[in-house]
Amino acid sequence: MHIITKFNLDNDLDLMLAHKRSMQVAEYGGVGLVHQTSFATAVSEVCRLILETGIQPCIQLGFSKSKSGRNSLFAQIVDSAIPQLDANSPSLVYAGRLVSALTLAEDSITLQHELPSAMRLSREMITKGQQLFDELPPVTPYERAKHLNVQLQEMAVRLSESERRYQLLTDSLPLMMFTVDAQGRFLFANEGLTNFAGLSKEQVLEANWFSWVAGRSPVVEERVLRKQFALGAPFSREIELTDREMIEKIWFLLSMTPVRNGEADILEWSGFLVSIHAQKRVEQALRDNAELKRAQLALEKRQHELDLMIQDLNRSNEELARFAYVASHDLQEPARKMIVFSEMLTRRFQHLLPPEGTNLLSRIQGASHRMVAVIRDLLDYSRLSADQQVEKEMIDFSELITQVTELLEEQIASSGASITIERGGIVLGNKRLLTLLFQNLIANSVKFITEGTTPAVLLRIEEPTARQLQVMGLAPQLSWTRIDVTDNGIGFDELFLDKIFQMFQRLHTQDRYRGTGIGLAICKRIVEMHHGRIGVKSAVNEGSTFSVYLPAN
Amino acid sequence: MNEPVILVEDDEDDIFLIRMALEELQIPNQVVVFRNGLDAFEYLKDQHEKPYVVISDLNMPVMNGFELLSSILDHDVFSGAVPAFVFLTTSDLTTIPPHSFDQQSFSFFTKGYSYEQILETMKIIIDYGRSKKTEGR
Repeated sequence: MHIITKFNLDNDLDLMLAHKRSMQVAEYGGVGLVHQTSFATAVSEVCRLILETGIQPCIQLGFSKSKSGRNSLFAQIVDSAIPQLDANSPSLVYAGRLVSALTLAEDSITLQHELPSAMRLSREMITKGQQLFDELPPVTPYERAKHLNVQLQEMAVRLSESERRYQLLTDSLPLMMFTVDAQGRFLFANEGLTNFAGLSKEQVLEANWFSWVAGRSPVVEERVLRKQFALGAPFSREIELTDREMIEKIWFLLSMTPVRNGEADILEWSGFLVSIHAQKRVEQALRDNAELKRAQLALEKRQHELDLMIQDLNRSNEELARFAYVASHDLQEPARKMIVFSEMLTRRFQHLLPPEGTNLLSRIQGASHRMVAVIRDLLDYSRLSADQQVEKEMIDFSELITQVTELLEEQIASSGASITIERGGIVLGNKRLLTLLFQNLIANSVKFITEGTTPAVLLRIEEPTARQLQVMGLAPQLSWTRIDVTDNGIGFDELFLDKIFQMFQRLHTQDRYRGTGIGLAICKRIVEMHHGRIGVKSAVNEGSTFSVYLPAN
Repeated sequence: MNEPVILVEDDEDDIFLIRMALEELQIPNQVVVFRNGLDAFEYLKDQHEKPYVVISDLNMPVMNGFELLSSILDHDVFSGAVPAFVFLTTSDLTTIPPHSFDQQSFSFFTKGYSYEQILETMKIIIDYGRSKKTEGR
C-alpha cells in the first residue's frame, strides 16, 4: 500500500475534491478515462455516505495489490462511525459494482480497482507521485484555505506538545525558572517557583515579579530591579529570600537574561533562581571559623602576655618577700641588741643614773620592744606566701588552743582573760599556721578590751549554713568548717570592715592599744593559704566575732 | 674538763655577750672564737681531742652552721665521736635543718631578748656539753 495523497472530509466541497483527486490518481496510474470515471464515482459515492453519518472522516488515495496480487488503485475512507453503516445501502452496492473490490472493515472502507497489467509500481513512480500531488495546485480557494488550516493545526499540536515538554522539563529542575515581560508580569513560571511562592500557576501569572521579589527579600527594593531591567543587559546577583512561611531565609543566585525581538526592543526576560544556601552556609562557616581562629590567636597572645606578666609579678613578689624577710631578719639583730644592752645598762648601772636617765632608758627599751614586735610580725607575714603548698593534718581544736594559750600565757595572766571552747572538734589544716592564726585572733580579743573589763573569749566550731557559704562566696558542694572567735572587746564599726585585714591598718592609736597592724593581715593570709575565708561581725562596744571558714576535707 | 669551748659567730655583740655570760658563770674553759664555719672546720680537723662544746651561729658568711656540722660529720673529724653541737638562732620560729641530719647530733637554742635569758641559755649549754662529755666516756 502506497499513499499518494490524503485529506479530511469535512463538507460537500471535499466531496468534489475527492472526486477530482481520484480521477487524477487513476490517471497517474495509467488508467483509461472510463475506468478513471468509474473509480472516481465509486469513491464519491462512499464519501457522500460517510459525510452524512461520519464523525471525522478522512480519505487516502494511492496504490496497492489486490487480493489476486494485481496492482490496483486504492482508496480508503477512515472513520470511527463505519460500523453503523448498512452494508446493503444502495450507495455501497452501487459503488461496489463500479470497482474491482470494496471491503468493509471495522473503521474503514477500502476500494480497489485493478490497473492495466502493463503498469509497474516502482519506488520512483510512487515518490514522484507523492511529490506531484503535494505540489498540485489547489482545486478551489477553499482547498487552499483548508490546507493551510491543517498545517496550522498541526503546528499548534506540535507547539502545545513542545510547551508541555518544556513545562515538564522545567518543573523537574531543582530551580525556579520564569519568564517575565519588561513590566515584570509573569509570563511563565515553573513548579519550582510556584511551590516556593506558594501560588498556583494561575495566581503566578497574575502576579508581578518585581513586587514578589521585593516582598520576599529584606534588602532588595523594587526600583533597583526595575533599574536593572532598564539597563537591558543580562545580570545576576546573590539574593536572600524568605520562604513561603516567612520564617527561614534562603540564599539564591538570581540570573536574568533579556530576550530581544531581533536587535530592537526587549520582549521579555527569562531568568532563574538557584539555591546557593548550602554554599553560603559553608562560606559563612568558613568565615566564622577564620574569625574564631583569629579571636583564639588574639586570646592566646593575650594569655601569653598575661603569663609573662604573672611571671614578672611572681618574680617581683618573690623578690619583695625575700627582701622583707632579709630586711626584717637583719633588723631583728640590732633591735635585739638594743633590748639586751639597755636592759644590762639598767641592771648594772641604774644606781648611778638620775631618775630622768632611768626614764629615758625605759623609753628606749619600750621602743625597742615595739620594734622587735613589728619585725617579728613582718617576718611571720613574709614567710606566708599565698600560693605556698600547705601540708594539712587533722588537728584537735582544744589541743591547738591549749598550745596557743601557752604562747599567750603572759597576756592572758596579766589581763585575767578567760578562753573558753564552747564547742570543739577536729580541724583540718597546718598546725604551725593555725597556731599563728588563733594566736593572733585571741591576742587581739584579749588586747582590745575596755579598761576594767575582763576579756572573755568564746570559741566554737560550727558547720556553716548554705546561706553563710553563699555570703562568703564559698563553693556549696564542698564541705566546710566554721570556727567562731567571739569576744567582749571594744568592737569596731563595720564601716572599717575592708580595712582591718589590710597590712598596717590600725583603728587605734599606739598609746591606747599597742599593735603592729600586721596581725589580721597574717590571719587573712593564713586562711587564704588554706583556701578558706575569714569574716567578722562587730559593732562598737559590743565585741566582735571573727569567723574562719576552712575546707573540711 | 678543760677542752675549749668553740664559738662560731660573726656578730661581735653576740661574741661579747656570750663571753660575758661565760665569765659570769665562771666557766674556766678557753673560748676559741671563729667568724665563720670554714675557719672553725680548718681548726677542728687538726685537733685530736673533741672540744667541750661547739656553739655555732646559723647564718654566717662563707660556711654556715649547718654546713659546718655536715663537714665535721662527713669528714669524721673525731673518728666516730661527735662533739656537743649547739646552734644559736635569733627567731623563735624553727629553722628547718636539712633532712640528712641525725636529730641527736645537735640542739637549737634561741639567742634571747635579755641578758638574763642569755645567761640562762649558756648555763644550759655548758651543762649539755658536760653531759655529752660523760656520755662519751
